[in-house]
Amino acid sequence: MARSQELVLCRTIVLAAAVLGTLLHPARARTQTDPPPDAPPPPWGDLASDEDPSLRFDDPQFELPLDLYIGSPVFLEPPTGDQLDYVPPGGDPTFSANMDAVDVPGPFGPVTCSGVAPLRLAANKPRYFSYANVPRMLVGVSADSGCALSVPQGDQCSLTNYAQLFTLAHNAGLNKVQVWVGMGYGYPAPYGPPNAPFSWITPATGSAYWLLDSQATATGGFAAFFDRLRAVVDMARSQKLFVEVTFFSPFEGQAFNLGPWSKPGAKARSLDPAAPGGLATAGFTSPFYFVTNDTTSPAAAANEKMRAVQANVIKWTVEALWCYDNIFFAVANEPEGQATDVDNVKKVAEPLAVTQWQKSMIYEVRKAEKAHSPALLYGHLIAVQPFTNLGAGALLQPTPAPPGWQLDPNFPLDPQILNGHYTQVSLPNIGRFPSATTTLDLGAMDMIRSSSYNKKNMPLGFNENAITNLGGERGTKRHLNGSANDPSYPQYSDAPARAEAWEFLFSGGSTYDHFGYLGLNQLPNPNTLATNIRAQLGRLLSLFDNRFGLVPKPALTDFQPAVMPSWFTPGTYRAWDSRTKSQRYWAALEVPISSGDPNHPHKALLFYIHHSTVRCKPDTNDYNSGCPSNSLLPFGSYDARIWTVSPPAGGPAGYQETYTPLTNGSYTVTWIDPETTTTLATQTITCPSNCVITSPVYKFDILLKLFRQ
Amino acid sequence: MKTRHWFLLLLLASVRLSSAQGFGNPLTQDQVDCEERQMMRLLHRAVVNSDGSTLFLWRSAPGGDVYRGLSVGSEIDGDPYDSSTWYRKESQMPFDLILRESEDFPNPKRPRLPQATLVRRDAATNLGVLVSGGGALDAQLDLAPQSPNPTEPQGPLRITNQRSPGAGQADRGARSLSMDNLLGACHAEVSEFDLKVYSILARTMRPSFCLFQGRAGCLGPRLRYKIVLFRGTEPLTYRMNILNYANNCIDNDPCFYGEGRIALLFRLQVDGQGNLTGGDVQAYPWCLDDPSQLACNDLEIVDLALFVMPPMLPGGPQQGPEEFKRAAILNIAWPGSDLNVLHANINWIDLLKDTSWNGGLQPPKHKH
Repeated sequence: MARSQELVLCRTIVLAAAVLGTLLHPARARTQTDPPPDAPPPPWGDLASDEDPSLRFDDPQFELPLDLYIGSPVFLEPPTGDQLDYVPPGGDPTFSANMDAVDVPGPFGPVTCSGVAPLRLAANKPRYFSYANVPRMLVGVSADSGCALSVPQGDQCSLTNYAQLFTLAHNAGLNKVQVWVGMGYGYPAPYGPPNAPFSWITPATGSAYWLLDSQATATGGFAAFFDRLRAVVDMARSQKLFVEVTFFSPFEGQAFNLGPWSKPGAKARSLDPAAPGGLATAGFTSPFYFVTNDTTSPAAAANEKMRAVQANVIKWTVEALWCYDNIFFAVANEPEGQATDVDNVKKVAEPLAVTQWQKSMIYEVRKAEKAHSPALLYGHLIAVQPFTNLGAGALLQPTPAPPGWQLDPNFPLDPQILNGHYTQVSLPNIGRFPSATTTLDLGAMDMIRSSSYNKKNMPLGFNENAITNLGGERGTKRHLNGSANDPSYPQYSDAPARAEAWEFLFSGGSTYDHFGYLGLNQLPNPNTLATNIRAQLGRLLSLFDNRFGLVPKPALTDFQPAVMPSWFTPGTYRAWDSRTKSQRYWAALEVPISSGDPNHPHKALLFYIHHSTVRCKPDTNDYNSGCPSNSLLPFGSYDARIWTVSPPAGGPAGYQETYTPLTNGSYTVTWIDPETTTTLATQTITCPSNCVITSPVYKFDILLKLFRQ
Repeated sequence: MKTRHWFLLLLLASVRLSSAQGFGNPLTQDQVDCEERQMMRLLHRAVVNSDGSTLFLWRSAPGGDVYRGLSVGSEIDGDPYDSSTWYRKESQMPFDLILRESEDFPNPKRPRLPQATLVRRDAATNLGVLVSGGGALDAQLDLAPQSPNPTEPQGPLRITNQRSPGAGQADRGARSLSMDNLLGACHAEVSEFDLKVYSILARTMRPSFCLFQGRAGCLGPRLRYKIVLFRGTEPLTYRMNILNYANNCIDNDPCFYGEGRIALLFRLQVDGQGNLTGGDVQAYPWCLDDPSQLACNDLEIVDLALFVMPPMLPGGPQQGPEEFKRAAILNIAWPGSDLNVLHANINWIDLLKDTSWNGGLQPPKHKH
């Protein structure tokens, strides 16, 4: 059989298994023909235990079915319980704010390097993660993540504060952090040598340099690079945090020429028998070759030689971390750019070239992981982060196997997680390396609100935002009663950060990272903003743990982005309200609730609303149905519009929602304050026709829980 | 004979008729290329200052010294996947751009400078209204010798739709007009029919980033566009180049300007009276490997919906789903995308019905 035919056959078998598995999903089994008796059993075993015949999953007016899962079946983990089914020994089975999503028995025992079964996906709905047979969402405070590095930014994660930061995150009920491995750019002394994964050689004569062929050893008072990385992951694990380990951040650091990847910087060498002394200056001639295969430039051979260096970084990372089940990998942070090239022109990388590079790096991960099979039962999940629809579409296309690679469903070559950054991304007409122009057009909210991506049966994540405690145009911003001016701290508010996280997760997202660590350099100091945001996000995760007080408690995997064509009218997303000078954003999840009667299931709608605006450039400008400068932030965020008094245009002292009509039925209507997660009002109504529900007056955001019996 | 064959025969007859009745003479490819280069040099220098706005420019005289244009502050928005929510509202400001080779007298000891004059056409302008962001609708040229970033002009020539004194006209001397070879024409082929077509296209064709099929809508800024119209090689063919442009400012780094080109070809059919009957619009291919080519798209990711819609009058009522149903629609994403719709037929009879621009408006009958 020809090699290509073998590959096609292997791929067909994997796909067929995945499709068959999805068809046998209990949610689908109710509406589709049972498989023939001789059909192979689903790869994850019998899922009947969580079925409830009263639940209907086929109501076209209520739920948007996701696409079939087409990934490897090895990542699908059946549930055997749910977080709150766990009763701590002698503990209270009722909900507690401190009961975060990883406080379950079993996982997070001692790290052993046998039978390693890393975090994977919930078989019932691979949009969500699963660990120790418990479906999960991952929410944390991280983003630019030099936790294993010595970086000058004191308020970000670094070697000096990661233990404190992880403890704070755990105590707030969060369960995720992010850690970078290699940055494409470097720093001046004293931050240079310890922040690269390569040996730092200081010869008796001549300049010191990185030797790209060997991993960093202990130097200058710093432990060996990958020992530090392992210690960071270990500390996270002790705090029951999942870790997104990002191999590369190609355009981060202070300057390309200060780092080990730059040929013009001449600070790195690699073995070259043909060179004098057996070493030659090495590196990429442009930072964009980090993510773009060079097939045309005069330095193509030297640039492509650096792929082996990238593969080494991946291999060294996998060697250090493969035994950890609480990690998943990400190929790169913002690999499409933007950055200033060696010709001093701002550019982005060619999206399709970056896709090709990301897939080639996934292949290197799987090669390194497979060396530890079967002790490593299957590969860790791998995330990718496109900035363009073009790149995202290409990343989701099947990956052909490179020559010599035997397809292995335990170590598949496709990404499992799609991440986005910022609410929206709009960077049009920017130079594309090496030629032409292109557009960055995909932010996290762009992605989650796209009917195309939001139907993908895979985790969708938001792992870097621009509503941070760093201040400036990446700071938090809010208007209070029509004014951004506040003499104590003009832009101090956790509201926009909360709104962004809630909107994303209520749109169907399954992992969210807020950019905001300690905020030590920001006012007020100590930074209550960072503390408040951690607490807000912890409460949000706890609400999902608690399943919003719905009885009987639904499974996390039953939550679904809502479709409301007939029985609830949500109003226009992002509609401008001149009274409050705000735009009205909403997101909604639905979940079926068992009633005991299969013909009349209960249903709950969770409808979140916030009133914000997009942010102008410069950030000191205020959006008023447009920006005075006619320029918005290319990497978008929200400006919360909070009202506690009646606006000059009149009306209530805040916002008030009215919805009508509801279809016939009996409803329990509950209004929840997202800031405190306390109930503001509740009522039960029966609607023969034209039922109207009205919210309490609220100041910024509100959650409507509509339970239809 | 099949209906399609009859249609083709009628089309051929229509074109022959039109050629015979003076709807223009053929141009050589060199003439068209020359004009495309010249118009793109001029267009690079032009901007409007409000998000969502579009600027049209076309040559209006056989010489290279008079242009017309239309600045449009438009809001075309809605849920891209729910056409019942689509709407279009806009303000307009038509203008003339007059270039003179040696008109300016800045210094008696130096040669006279070329001069550019922008003059607003008040009668067709939404005077005094504000557009997105609370600013004025404007049209602006950067006449500095070099214009790396026309949104931050070093030699601005600007008019607005405001009523303040001087807002409606501006002039400026500038050597850049001759340096960019903007004062002469590549050919003399500008007919009354051409001017009618340009005016109609400028009032019916609208780009929209917000309604592009492939995004989740306009979560961020509405983008700005500037457009030149010029003749194709054959009579009744017209070229349209769209520049999508932006001044990108990231954090505290210096802002940088970028523009990308989308090229279209309109082919028209007319009846014996010169009324537009039908036709089509076709997007040219991408030329990413050689962006210096003409008649091609050098912007990789375009993310643009293009609508050829019934015309709006200045200050006229907002258009909605009914008008969008009648529109010819392109959807331009990126090379090879399944989202691409790169060709559409245009029913000009329908789009221009009830207008005087196409012979369809009957004078009101007087009651006795």
